Amino acid sequence: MTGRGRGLRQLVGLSVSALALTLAACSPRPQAAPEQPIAYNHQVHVQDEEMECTRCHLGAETQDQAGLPPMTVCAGCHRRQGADIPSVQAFMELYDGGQGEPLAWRKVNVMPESAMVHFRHKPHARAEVGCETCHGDIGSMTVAEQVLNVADMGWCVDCHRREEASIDCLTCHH
Amino acid sequence: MTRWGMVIDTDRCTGCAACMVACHAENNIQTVGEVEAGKGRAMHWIRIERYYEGEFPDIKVRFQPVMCQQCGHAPCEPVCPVYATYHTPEGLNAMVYARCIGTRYCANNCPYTVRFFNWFSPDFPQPLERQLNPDVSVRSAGIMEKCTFCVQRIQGAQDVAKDEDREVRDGEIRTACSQSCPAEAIVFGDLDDPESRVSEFAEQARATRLLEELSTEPSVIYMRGGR
Repeated sequence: MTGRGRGLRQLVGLSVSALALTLAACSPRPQAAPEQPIAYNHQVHVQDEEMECTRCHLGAETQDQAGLPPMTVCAGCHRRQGADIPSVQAFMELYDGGQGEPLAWRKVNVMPESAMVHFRHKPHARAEVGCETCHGDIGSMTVAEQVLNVADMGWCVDCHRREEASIDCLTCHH
Repeated sequence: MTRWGMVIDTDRCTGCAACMVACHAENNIQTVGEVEAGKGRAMHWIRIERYYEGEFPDIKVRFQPVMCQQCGHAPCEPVCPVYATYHTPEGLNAMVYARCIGTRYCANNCPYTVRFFNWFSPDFPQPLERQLNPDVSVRSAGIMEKCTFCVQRIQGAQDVAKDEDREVRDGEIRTACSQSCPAEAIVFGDLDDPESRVSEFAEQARATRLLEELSTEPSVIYMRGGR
């Protein structure tokens, strides 16, 4: 093969991989689930115990951020329930005997700072968008993970168009 | 339709600069320090211009707060190569930080020099980072920024109004500068609502606009000449 032919082939190969990379970057994939300080199981709480999301994510319908539950919320039930489960025991030990340090739950859905987006839960709850629309069937997950990358703006805009919500940039980016 | 506008009564303004301080706090505007400010890199979404009338001792000082005029025909908008700045249906001259690539064409084309470039990554030394407004993005280096008419407050009021199933009332939205003005020289409201306070002011004989001859159609109206 001539040097020029090889060069051309390399160039084509490079452009193809660059295109593939660009396309991959266009619609971001769900991020991997972060490791939590205590293995919390959504399935047990939501499916088995039939708890509402807002029981722990207190701001999901009324605030900008749904929020991760403070330890008092967990302890409210677990002071009486689940004392035979190892992870509950670990939690109560931390809650009662800890140095007042809150449990550092790690957020599963993190909006990248560079997007400069101010997502607000409240207007979505008012428009009766269910949690599962963006978060998937979290209630059946043993380990909470993203089903949709929250940084995928195409997803947001598609829904806003369909539901005739505002697609003005300033609505979210400010 | 809504068209947000502002009225500034320069006859009332005492030049106290409370609006500037409030704006910095509300909108997470970084300070750059004395040296860089000397190079013209200071950022103030609202500034107070001083004008002297007469000679000492018969001198009179006049003040004029100047911020983004949210022009109807904004010179900054058509020059942006990435559509980072555009006009919203509510008459705001919007700045989308995430789109901005920092060409600075918009700032060069602004006759009011109210657009600012982030030369540096924001640095809020402790404990200042705790007073950052969570409703406003902290802009990183390489991005243009300017007065937004406190769009986060507009949205906040609209959100409350929607909860209560009504329209936003006149005077319900107060920008940070308007809220902090002890002389109540700054009024914010809907220029398309004939009943609003800003509309009433706009019809008075004292009403003027900055550099009106440029036909930029500013949404900020200055009241001048009453005293």
